[in-house]
Amino acid sequence: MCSKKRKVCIIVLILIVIMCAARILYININNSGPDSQVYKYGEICTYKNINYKIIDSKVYDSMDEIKQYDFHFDQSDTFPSKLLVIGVELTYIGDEEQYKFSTREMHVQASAWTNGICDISYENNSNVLEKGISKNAYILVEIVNSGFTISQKHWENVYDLDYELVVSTYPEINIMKCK
Amino acid sequence: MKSVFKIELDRAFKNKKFFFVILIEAALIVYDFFSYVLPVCNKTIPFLLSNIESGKVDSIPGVYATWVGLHYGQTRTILFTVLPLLCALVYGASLYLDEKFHYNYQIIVRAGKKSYYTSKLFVLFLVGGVVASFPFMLSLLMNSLVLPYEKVLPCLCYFMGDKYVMSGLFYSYPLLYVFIYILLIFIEFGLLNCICFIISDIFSNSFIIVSAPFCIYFCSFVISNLVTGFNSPWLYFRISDVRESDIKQILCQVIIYLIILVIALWNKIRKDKDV
Repeated sequence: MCSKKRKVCIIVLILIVIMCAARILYININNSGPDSQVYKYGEICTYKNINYKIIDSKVYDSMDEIKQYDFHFDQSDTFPSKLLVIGVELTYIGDEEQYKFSTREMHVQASAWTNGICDISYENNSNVLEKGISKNAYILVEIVNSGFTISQKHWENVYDLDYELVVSTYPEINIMKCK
Repeated sequence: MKSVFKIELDRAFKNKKFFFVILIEAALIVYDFFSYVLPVCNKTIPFLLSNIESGKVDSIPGVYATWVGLHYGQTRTILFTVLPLLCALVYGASLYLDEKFHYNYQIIVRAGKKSYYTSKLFVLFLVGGVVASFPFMLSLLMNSLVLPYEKVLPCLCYFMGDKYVMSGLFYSYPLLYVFIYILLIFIEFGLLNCICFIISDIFSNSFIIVSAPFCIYFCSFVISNLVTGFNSPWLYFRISDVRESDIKQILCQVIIYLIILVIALWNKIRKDKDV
């Protein structure tokens, strides 16, 4: 009787495990999440009728070194910080004649470090993109060593980290490598 | 030693206290599921999906965002507060009670002091680990039944900055990170539960023995808040809160604690007064 009970318990347990596994598989197959695309340096990413192409990325020590980009940004004086500038070639390929570009969805990340866009500078100082005409834009991101955001190991290697520009996260994940 | 170990395992896991503690933990996780996870499924996600066209949706929450180990909610705080007490409740006073009712004589005469005390310490560790890791496993399982495993990115809202240990692993292989998190919870609460072994030698009161791990755990956090530069060794229970700069200090404290445990075990074995 005891061994019969044990057998029944084991069978019930196995059935529960199989049902749970089936349910988990069903959930993940039907809700696989956003499609993820990672673009190598120099490749073109198309998202919401705009072609993005990374043309340059470099880390600077201070705003004095990047005066040519005409950023309007105050570098942190509370904590040590560096400035990452990413050059992006933008081309609007939609139906309208003009399109106002925005960096709202964009972030920059490297391993577990991330930050939003601090400022953006456009050729001809306008964020309006003409249909079919490429325009360069320079994105400024501050890398602050505040005790939380970046590890010591990455801070010591800040000039050589594998920075990635996250163009969007939902409904598509588009990540562009800056090196 | 195998037979003594088996006996102690049965005593630890096949008892009402263990099931009672598991029930409490299950109740906590079910509460978290109904108060946090289900509203995410029934309200948050449909709201976000209906607003995709606005372009303001960054992500849809999934298993990792709602898992009790990573979301800084009420249940997580309660769990990390009561776990030392729950772990010790099951089997913490067993050594003291065995000595009080001379049950240990029966085992020591047949199997030897070394087998008996080593098994006791090891089972204390196992019980602490199982009791502590159960709610996290249950939460992961329950969340997996209603939510998908989402893609995690640093720019999304996870409380996992670059300064924290294994944050890179979390963003590359989140499920592996979760299993390592649970394994560390197992090891660390198992070690904490072994305090009962040391305290049994000092105090002859089962209430003090059972509450000792909780008191030491709580006091270490109080001291770490008062003393600058000192981190509680039990801080590493929450691997998502441990900074890389804290690792050396925490490792030193763990090594000292392990040495104390070994000394306590050796002292117990060599004592004459038991038999």
